[in-house]
Amino acid sequence: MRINESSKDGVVILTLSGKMMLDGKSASLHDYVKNLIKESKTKVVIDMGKITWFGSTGLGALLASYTSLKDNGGDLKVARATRKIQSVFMFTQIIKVLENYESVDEAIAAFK
Amino acid sequence: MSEQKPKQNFYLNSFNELELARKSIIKFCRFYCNNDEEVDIIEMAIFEACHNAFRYGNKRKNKSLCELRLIYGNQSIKAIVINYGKEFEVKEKESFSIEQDFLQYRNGGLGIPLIKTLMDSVKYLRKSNNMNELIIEKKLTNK
Repeated sequence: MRINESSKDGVVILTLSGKMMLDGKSASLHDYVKNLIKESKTKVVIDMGKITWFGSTGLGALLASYTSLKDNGGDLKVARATRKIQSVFMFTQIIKVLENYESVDEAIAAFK
Repeated sequence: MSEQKPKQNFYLNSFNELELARKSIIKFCRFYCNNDEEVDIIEMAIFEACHNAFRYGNKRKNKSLCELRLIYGNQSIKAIVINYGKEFEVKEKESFSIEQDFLQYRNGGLGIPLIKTLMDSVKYLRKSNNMNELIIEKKLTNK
């Protein structure tokens, strides 16, 4: 999985691509987010439009990132999650805390 | 259903082989299920189970790292995932909640809760020779 960072309106956008599952790299998302927190960047949008596979490792990395940001006064929003990822969010009730937005811009606007 | 029955048994040794089997797994599901969301859910649960099998399994002589059997019956799709190695940590809980389980995640252990959340039934059998058998089942709402 690759992580590409950009920012807009004071919000960090992490664009993920590839497989978010058991490749030993997905956990790096949480490390990446922890480093953002150290830099006081606590408003984060994760763009999941280029994720080709999402499993329990990806789910764990996403939830750990969400919890860390919340614990530090920030928030995490998800954009462009695929139908399969949205199904996982729905079945696991994660949709209660992690709302998916159709575009990155909509997710950024939700911080305002 | 006049078309040829899809492949049911898969002998897998790597993530790449699982990826190559994806089309056949989806074809099996679609043969019996015309609900795209249900097919997605079953596919994800099967992949999660197989990934767990690869991750924690050991290669045995003349055995594949992971054996996957797909069965249809009683309006359900059942997947049996077999591997050899470390015993799975299967929580006895049948249902999981966002607050008590998923948000408590720190380091691993979400595989079985995720599968249990996606599927209607998950049974785990620890057999002789360090054999693990995970049987996951989903009732279909169509056909």
